[in-house]
Amino acid sequence: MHGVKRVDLTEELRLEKEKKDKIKLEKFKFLSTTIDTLSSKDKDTEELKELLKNLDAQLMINSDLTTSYNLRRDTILKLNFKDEDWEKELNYTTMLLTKSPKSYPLWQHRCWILTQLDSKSYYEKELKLTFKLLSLDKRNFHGWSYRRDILDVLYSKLDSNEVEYLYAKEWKFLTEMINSDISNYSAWHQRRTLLLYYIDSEGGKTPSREFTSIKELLENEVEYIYQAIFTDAEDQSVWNYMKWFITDSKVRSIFSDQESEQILEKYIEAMHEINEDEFDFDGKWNKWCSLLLIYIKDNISTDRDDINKKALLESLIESDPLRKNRYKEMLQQK
Amino acid sequence: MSIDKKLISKYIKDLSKELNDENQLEYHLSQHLRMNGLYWTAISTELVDSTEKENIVDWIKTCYYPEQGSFGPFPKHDPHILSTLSAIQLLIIFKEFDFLKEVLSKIFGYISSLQLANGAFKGDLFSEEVDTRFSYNSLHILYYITKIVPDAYEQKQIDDVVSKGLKYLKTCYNYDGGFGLRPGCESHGAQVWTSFASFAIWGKIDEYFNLQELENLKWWLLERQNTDGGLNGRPCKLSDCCYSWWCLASLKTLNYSKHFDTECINLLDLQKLKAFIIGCQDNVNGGISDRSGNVVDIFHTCFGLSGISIIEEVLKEEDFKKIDPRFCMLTESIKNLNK
Repeated sequence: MHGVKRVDLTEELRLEKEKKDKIKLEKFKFLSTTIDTLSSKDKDTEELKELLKNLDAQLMINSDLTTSYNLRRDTILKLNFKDEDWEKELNYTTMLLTKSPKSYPLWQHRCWILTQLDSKSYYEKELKLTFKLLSLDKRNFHGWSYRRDILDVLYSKLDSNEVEYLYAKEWKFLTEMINSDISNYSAWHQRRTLLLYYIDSEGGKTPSREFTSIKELLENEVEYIYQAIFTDAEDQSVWNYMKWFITDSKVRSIFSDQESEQILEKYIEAMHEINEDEFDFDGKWNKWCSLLLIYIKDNISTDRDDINKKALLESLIESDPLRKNRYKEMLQQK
Repeated sequence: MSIDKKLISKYIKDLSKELNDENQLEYHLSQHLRMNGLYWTAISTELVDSTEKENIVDWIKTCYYPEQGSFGPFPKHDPHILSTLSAIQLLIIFKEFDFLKEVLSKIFGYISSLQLANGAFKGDLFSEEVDTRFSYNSLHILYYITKIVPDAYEQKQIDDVVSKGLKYLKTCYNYDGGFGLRPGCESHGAQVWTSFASFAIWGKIDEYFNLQELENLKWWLLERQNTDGGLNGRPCKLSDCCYSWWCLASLKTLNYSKHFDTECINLLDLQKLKAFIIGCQDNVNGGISDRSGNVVDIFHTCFGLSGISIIEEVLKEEDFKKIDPRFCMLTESIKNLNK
């Protein structure tokens, strides 16, 4: 049970709930018995349809019944579904997904339907569904991983122009997601995946005509991160992204050593600036700036005199007391 | 302040009564995870020292598929690796070793048929669903085979499946230090535990991970503590009691690496975390919920208590029996396997 508030029901409401539960229980029992009876014998088409109808209703009451999905798939295959039947199945599962967006076997069943249809137009429609579900719950990891699966399938089905168009749209989608909520770690995660795709792609593809080369795309990214840390310096999503961006060998391979140095310089300056601002405001340095500065000194440019690890760690003990033992340990290791 | 153990026992008793009563809605709606639920119940019962263990071995046998050595979550439900691991854990808890030996002597074929060429595991033979949880379930069961029926199979057979399985899990490791559901998926606390604990079970952490990778994992896990003291499962999410197991046990498991001498979980504010878990106990019905004031269930009760047990072990308060962070089984149950 996640995120459901405890409530003290009044006697009246309790009785009402009991009554409703009783009806649900009888219905579920009846459906389960019918399904048991039907599934244990040889069935003609009408009986198969009857079985499916009962499964419809049973999964509406509990959409986590793995065994019922197994039976459902078996039944569907026996029924030789036509296009309109598949459409119905898609609509039915969309309805279930809206009701239970975190059901593992339900997502699995949806994947199976798509593999049976195996047509790119269905996969394209499917992207729209994940868009809808992700706008209702922007961190739903089922939705995100399903979206990645769909993109992978489309990648193998579309010609290269169509793929470019699709990925450009995905880049725009992610940018809009992050712009509307900078704390959407899932979207940053996906952005990284896509950025790596562009770096790896042959012929220097980019998500927009705005960027004529990978380098321009990455320069834009340098600026995007820079703006993001000033937008919300408390949010760990962008800092994690930055930590990856400044250390990743593929990203660094696009820039010359001198350029990488300049990027680092730009970020270090920004972090010092944010630290100073926050110090003026409440006497503490920013947690993430401090952590990243230490990380840079430890892992990227060990010879920087303007990063005082000891002072930063001492400040972290104050600004992030939950993890003070970690910083104390790091002080000793120094 | 502490967990009220008596109240937990009361909750377990009430719940068992409800789940054994065909006239209760929950009896029907929880069938798909009944075997797991019984395992969560058994662990909770052990942790609060309750003696009222309901013997369910006969019932477990009604969910058994003897050709494969697998189990379904409920009579007439299809077998799945999730319910199979829970059933095996229950047989260990109930010390039903004769039957357990029979099961383990059959199950290797089932487990290897779930493994794909790339080393990933499916959850059952009915679908293509792949998940790091299923890798954990299989790799965990294989450990019991080597301990309980060591002569049933050739060691090399087992080693091949394990090393392929671990190689695949390494591909689910992310740049931020965590693990996802599948390669390329966002890091998630529960997936971190199922993945990383698999390496710990087989004593292979340092073979697969260098210090920097482990430091990244440590960083990711330490950042899971929110200001309310609880742990979340992903960045920028609310605290949830169950991550007091998934994330805390992962952090504790880091100590199976040669690189870490001091207890990694001590780097969190353990008192605050403990207070968060205690705050999730319902002081009327007795169970534990995801967050203070929410509806309780046996899943959060089990993982809240397991988290407290780890905390108390490290703080040397030890009011709870010790639990093994790799298996979510009492340390003594795992030790006794060697006897």
